[in-house]
Amino acid sequence: MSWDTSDINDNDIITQDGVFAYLFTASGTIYAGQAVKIVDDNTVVVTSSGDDGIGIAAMTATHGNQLGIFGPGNIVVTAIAGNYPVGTSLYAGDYGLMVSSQSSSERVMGLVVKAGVQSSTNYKATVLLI
Amino acid sequence: MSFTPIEDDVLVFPGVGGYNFIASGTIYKGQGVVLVDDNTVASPSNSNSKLIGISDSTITDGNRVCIYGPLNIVRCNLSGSVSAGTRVGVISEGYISPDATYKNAIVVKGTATTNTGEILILGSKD
Repeated sequence: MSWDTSDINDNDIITQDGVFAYLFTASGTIYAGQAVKIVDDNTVVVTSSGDDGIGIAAMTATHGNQLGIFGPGNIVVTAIAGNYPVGTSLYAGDYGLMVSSQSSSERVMGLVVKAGVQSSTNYKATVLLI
Repeated sequence: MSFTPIEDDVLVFPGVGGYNFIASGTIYKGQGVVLVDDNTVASPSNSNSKLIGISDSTITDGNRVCIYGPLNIVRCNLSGSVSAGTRVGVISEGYISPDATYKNAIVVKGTATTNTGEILILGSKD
């Protein structure tokens, strides 16, 4: 499993605006659509399994640059790790791909609104961020 | 320990608007609050409470207060030095702490020298 940059384009992500995107600084390269967590003051990084994810990158950003993060309350289109049915709870996973299995005690960060369509590597799905 | 109102603006990054509640007792600017009665909030007396938001101003008993709730990033008083990324909730006197039972917020920025910080309030602890 890995993040495929051909899966998601910057313009794809938001489908229904809930609240504003938050503005954070990128730690490392973050691709549009990847799930992120807080790693330092006002700084986010791509999630790994077991992390408390807070949102989805609205754009691709390189290390040290600012980027928008769609947080809870928004419905987004992004790549996830499997073809999970509608209503499935999603947790942060490796490579910024949300997964259906909880690793430890990390928070639920999304619910599947529309089941994934297979792309080149992962599954493209519509997700309500919570 | 008594609560010292924060000096800066409470709202850092707006997610949604502030809610309008009635204050039970004095509520200080930047204090975490919980629901205690119909449309009424107060600062909690223990660490088992569910944070619903942070007060935008200092208000005395019976008056209306603006509360910034879930999906907003707000300033608050932390119980100590708490690192960014830590899950936190509200404890006694409205401090925000990792020692809370119900952790429905995440620290976005922690300032150890002043024990103030910025948190993203979430709708649920899970």
